[in-house]
Amino acid sequence: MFKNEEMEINMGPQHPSTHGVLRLKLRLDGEIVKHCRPVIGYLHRGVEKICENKTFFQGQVWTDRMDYTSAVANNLGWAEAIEKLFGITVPRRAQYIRTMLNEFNRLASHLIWLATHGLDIGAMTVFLYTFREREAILDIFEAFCGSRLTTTAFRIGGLREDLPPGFEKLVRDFLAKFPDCVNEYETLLTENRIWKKRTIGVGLLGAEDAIAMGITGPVLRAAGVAYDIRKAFPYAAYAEMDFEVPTRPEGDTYARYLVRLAEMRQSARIIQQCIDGLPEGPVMAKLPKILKSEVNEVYHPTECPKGELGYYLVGEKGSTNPYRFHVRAPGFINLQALPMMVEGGLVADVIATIGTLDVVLGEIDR
Amino acid sequence: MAIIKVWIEEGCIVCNACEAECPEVFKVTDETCVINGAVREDGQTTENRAEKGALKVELGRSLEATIVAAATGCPVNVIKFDQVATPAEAAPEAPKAAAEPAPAPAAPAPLPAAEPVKAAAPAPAPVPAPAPVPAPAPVPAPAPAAKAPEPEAVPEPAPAGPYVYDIQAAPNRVVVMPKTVPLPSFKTYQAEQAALAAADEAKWQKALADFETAKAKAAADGKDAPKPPVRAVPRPDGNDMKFPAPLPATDPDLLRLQELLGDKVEEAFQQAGEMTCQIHRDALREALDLCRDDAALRYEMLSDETATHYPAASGWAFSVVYHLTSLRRHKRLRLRILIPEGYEPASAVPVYPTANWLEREIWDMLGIRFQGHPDMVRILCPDDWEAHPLRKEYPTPGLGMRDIDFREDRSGVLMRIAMEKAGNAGINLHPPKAE
Repeated sequence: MFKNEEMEINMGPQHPSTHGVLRLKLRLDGEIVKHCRPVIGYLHRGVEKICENKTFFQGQVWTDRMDYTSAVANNLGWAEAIEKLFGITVPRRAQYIRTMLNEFNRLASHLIWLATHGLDIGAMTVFLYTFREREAILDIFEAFCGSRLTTTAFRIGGLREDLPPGFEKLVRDFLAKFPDCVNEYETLLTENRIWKKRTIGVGLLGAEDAIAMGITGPVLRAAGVAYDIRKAFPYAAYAEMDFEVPTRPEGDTYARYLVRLAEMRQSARIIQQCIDGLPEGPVMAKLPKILKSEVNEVYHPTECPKGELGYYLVGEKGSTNPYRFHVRAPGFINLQALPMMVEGGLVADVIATIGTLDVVLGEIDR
Repeated sequence: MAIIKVWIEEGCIVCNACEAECPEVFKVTDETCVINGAVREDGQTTENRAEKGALKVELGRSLEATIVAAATGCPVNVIKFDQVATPAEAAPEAPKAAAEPAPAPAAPAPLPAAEPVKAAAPAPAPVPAPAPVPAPAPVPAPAPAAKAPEPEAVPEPAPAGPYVYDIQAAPNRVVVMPKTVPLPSFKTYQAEQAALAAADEAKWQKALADFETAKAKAAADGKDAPKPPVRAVPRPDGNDMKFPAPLPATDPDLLRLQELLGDKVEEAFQQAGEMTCQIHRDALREALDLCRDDAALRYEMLSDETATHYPAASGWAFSVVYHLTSLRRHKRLRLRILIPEGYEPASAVPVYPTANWLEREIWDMLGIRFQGHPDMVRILCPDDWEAHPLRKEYPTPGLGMRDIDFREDRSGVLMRIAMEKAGNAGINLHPPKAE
């Protein structure tokens, strides 16, 4: 009965804590994880192949469905990659609105991360609080583009329409109450003894390993590397925004939690600057009805809530669709480091580590 | 054209017209009309219209005229079919399969509701036909009178299973192969622009020469001199769009790489604010090492690695690109190699561990293997998938909705793995032999 041998178990693909259809093959010695191998691909829809057969305008719809918790950020990357491919100049007002919506999206994504991460570890309450604010953000998306989740928010060259009447009031109401809401989450979790026990020292990843594994986003910043694409390679209107890049040196799950909370406060700051300094003018560049590309290739990285989202596009002369489309999904690269983070730890910490990586299988499998 | 599916909607009034028209396909029972199992890919005789099983390909082609006639002759229009254009339209029609049982009635005249129900007459049993058997000795097609005598046809290869991309086997999966090689390059761009400028100049010189001759002619005839030609200047189109043309390399990083690698750098240019350095494929590992470790370069992170299929290129078939990022200096660099089909580039995993999954994805999607990769297996597609979907010859239209049994082990890989594992654990999974 008390045999001293390793056991191999499957976590997922149908497991509530794997955030989708992620399957982990774990080899356990008692409660210690000896070996971990992620198996992905259960949600593979061939987005890259599909977009190669759609026009530049149609492709954006597919980016909504990759990381479905941050559709606006995916739309922004797609629109900007194509603008870079064609050399399109976007009006400044459109850039500001894009920046604002992108930050709202970062808030929504971080809120859903906090809710599910808390739920995984056993902190049920915070889920109810974060979904209250997320609802307000989705209402703002709905006011802007009529859709809450799969937004298709932008157009190549700018926006489809200007902001609707009453939009500014929605934003200002949200900004007035949001910092207090972040304080509420902090009251619930930051000094919570159980939360700290479950997160401090769990899923450790140092700066060197993180860079070698290509980790980006809050996970990299929680390892002490102040790398944020919004600062390093500014896009949209981020060059004109005043914000900080929060970092923590510890590199554990608790540090990532703190970094993401600090990021939420910074996002609120950026939104405030956008709505205060919103310039007047058109929101759409002058473009021909049909976009026909020249021979060019671009790799456009943007700071998605989960990390670096890169779109690689190759244009064929006279073609209305991309010759090659490739997505550098942040979750795909970040998940690769999961074995490194969980091996040698406890099984229960695997759950916390998956949560802290903030994986969405829709973009990992594409 | 060929018919790939035939099915019966609800509302059949059992009039026997279809069976009279095309008894090979339609069979009228007491209650409704059904499709004969012998003509279907799966061999099922079913009246359930939700299960639209595909027809055997050669049958769909040879019986097309009669099926269409039966469908149009149906008084209540419940016979539906899917028709597609065949790529090999001009090719001679395939003969009827030998499996085709019932000889058609001599008179295919439409007899509305007159003929009695053929309960037992030819009634081809629903043979669960294996792969469609190409006719070794083609039976002369008896059915439609309008059919021309068919010439010798090449027997089609039997499809191996549902995941076959053979266009002949699946006529509705048409692939449009790219004709150009859209590889961004400063040299190509320069050559193109020079050719355009030369053509423009030649046109202008011709216009000038024409003008001179016309002027001389007019002077000789004593007429007014013609108008001198005006050189056309391209007008701005008023769009906020300017194509970012490739520029020669001026960035110190590119110059440094050129200096370090010498002849192995095939090309270096800048376009749309991005740096591209194309190196010879054999110098890849050297270049990656330099990019990471050279004091002046220091690209610490591999952001992305991917490949593109260029079937129209000659001498090479794929470009593999590496997007490197320098976190300290906030710079990005694209390394590119061109490789022929079957070439195995060196893996980047020893230099940048990120490349592990990215190279697995490239193998999965484009079929490029990397030498020295620790774990070269598929990542997104199932282990027993047969082709590489992001190649240009891989078709996008599917065969329509169909049932896939995921427990089915098409290539036997899963079974082999299971047996191996069981054997290692000392378990005998082999089925006992029949006594």
